[in-house]
Amino acid sequence: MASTRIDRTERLLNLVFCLMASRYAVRRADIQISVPGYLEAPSEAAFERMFERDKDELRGMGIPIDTVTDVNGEVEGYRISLTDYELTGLSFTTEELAVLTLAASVWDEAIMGPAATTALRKLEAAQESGVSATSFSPGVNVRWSETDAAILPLFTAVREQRVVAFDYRSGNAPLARKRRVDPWAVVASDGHWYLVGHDHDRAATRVFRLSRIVGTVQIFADEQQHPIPPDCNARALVGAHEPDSPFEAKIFVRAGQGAELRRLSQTDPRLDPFSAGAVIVGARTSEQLQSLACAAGIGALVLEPESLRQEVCAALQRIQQVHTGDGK
Amino acid sequence: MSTSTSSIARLSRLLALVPWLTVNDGVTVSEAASHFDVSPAQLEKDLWLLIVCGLPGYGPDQLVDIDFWDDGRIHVIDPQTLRKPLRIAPAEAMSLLVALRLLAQVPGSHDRAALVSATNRLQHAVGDVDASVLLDDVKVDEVLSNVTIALQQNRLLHLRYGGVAGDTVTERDVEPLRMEATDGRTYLEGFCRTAGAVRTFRIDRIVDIKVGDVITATNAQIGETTAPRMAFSAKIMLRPQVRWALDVHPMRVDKEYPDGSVTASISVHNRAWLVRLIMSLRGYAELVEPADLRHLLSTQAAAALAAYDQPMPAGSPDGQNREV
Repeated sequence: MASTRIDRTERLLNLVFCLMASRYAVRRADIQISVPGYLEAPSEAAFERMFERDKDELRGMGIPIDTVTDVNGEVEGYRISLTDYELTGLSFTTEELAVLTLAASVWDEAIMGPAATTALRKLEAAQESGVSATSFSPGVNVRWSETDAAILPLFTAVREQRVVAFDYRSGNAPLARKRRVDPWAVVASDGHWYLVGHDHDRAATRVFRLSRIVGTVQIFADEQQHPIPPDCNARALVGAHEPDSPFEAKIFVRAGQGAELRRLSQTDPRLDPFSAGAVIVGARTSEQLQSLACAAGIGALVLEPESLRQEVCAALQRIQQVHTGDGK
Repeated sequence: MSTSTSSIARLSRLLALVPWLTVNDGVTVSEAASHFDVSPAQLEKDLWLLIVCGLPGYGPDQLVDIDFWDDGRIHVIDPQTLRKPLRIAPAEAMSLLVALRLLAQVPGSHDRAALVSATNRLQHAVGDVDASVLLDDVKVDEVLSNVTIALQQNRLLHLRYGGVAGDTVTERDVEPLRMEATDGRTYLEGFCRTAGAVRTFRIDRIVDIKVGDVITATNAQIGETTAPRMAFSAKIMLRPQVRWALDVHPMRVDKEYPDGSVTASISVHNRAWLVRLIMSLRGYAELVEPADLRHLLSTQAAAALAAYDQPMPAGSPDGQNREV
């Protein structure tokens, strides 16, 4: 990029200053002349596109750009009110800032990381002189690194009670389908994130797993048509989303082995971890029971039912066969 | 990163940088750079950019004025309209508030009073998250309460532990060091006397726990932590029957096939864990790489299969008294 061109950050920053500087709306034509970079636009239409895009991106960052209209509804110009822009009145102690610093580190490499860090930087910059986080060595290390891109727009939509739409791949369906939803709550359960809300097309309450949302989440300006019912227990809905365990098996585990099966066993009293014996294990599907038995390898042996025994034998045979030789 | 996201990220930094430098008068370029997690060269570029920006007219009185050449220390002389940072956006507030909630759930020696007051202050300013974001309640069971007691009183823990990777139960004496929580799961980090090294134990895999004596002498090095495990990449072919594994594990799809099969890559820390994963996929998944684990998989499957041809072990309907 030629050094004579105005850097985009520079143009955006000067645009922010320009709109903050005046108590009155700044006309588009004045913006074009006074903010360096816009006069480089080869045509009037090109300037319009540049300016619209800049305005959208600044609003996307949370910068409150007002569009000022006259009595006829014509756009007079734009401005940023300092009162709406400035973060004030939030002062923290050094200990509180230390905890906030620890909180901002929770998201690690996850999608929420930059957002939390930005919030922290703003809070620090809003403090009185000399207040900064005490350095300390925390007795805990909390990390949440696996989150889905959908989570940030859904946070915003739930909070502002806006309708959202997204492509969703349900269960084993290979193709994603568009869903339009009134989002009620974002729920974390057993390491996964879920959205609970009212599905417009199904006209019913639904639970969505965030990892199955494909592409971007669209947020609409319209308010939710079906706000959260007062008796809605979102956490219970997510729990019910994982059905109970109608399939049961009796599985023999060898001494000191089959730790996962022992943990899941409903046998009462629990088998001593260092003795061999039979455990009763429940699961949602027969496939899940097969998976558990296969994963335990030589440490486990299915006793009942006979059908499961046969399925596990067939699965072990497949595992052996596909891994014979060097592969492709 | 596209020029669009990078210029927005840079603008966001500049808008926070000016008020931060104003309240932290006299910090050095390298201090400011490390605080904002950029290189000192980048921070200097930021400062050079700031001092050519300002209010329309762009005369000396209208530009941002920052002195950073006299003594290597930064002094903001005129921030123009950037005296305060930009308000916190809803998604930013949520990211921080949810993280505070996750911290509050984990037992440990962090400053609870500050945690509660910081959360209250932030919620007061930006609104509550209670109704809209729900997290798992951490079940304070016997295991967790014993771990907490041992951490507070510096006592030894005697554990029976069912490993995540190996699927075997082991007995260990552990000096507890700290709590960890990753992706919603809680772990204890401690010096394992049995292994002679720092180990991490998943709380829900602790089968049995007893609190022992106060630790008077230790072999654990102060500040020693678990050595970062070396990750390696595995390549797996998934048949349509087990496509769901893409949802459960963080895999990257490399190739889709017309019949619904995919090849995917996954980053793995532990070979035993990988073998168990492939076994659990019931022969509808093929480990392509690392190739040296293929032989192990076929041998393990064969050994498990052979056991089904043996007489029924004890505990089975027709083998009550037989030993294995």
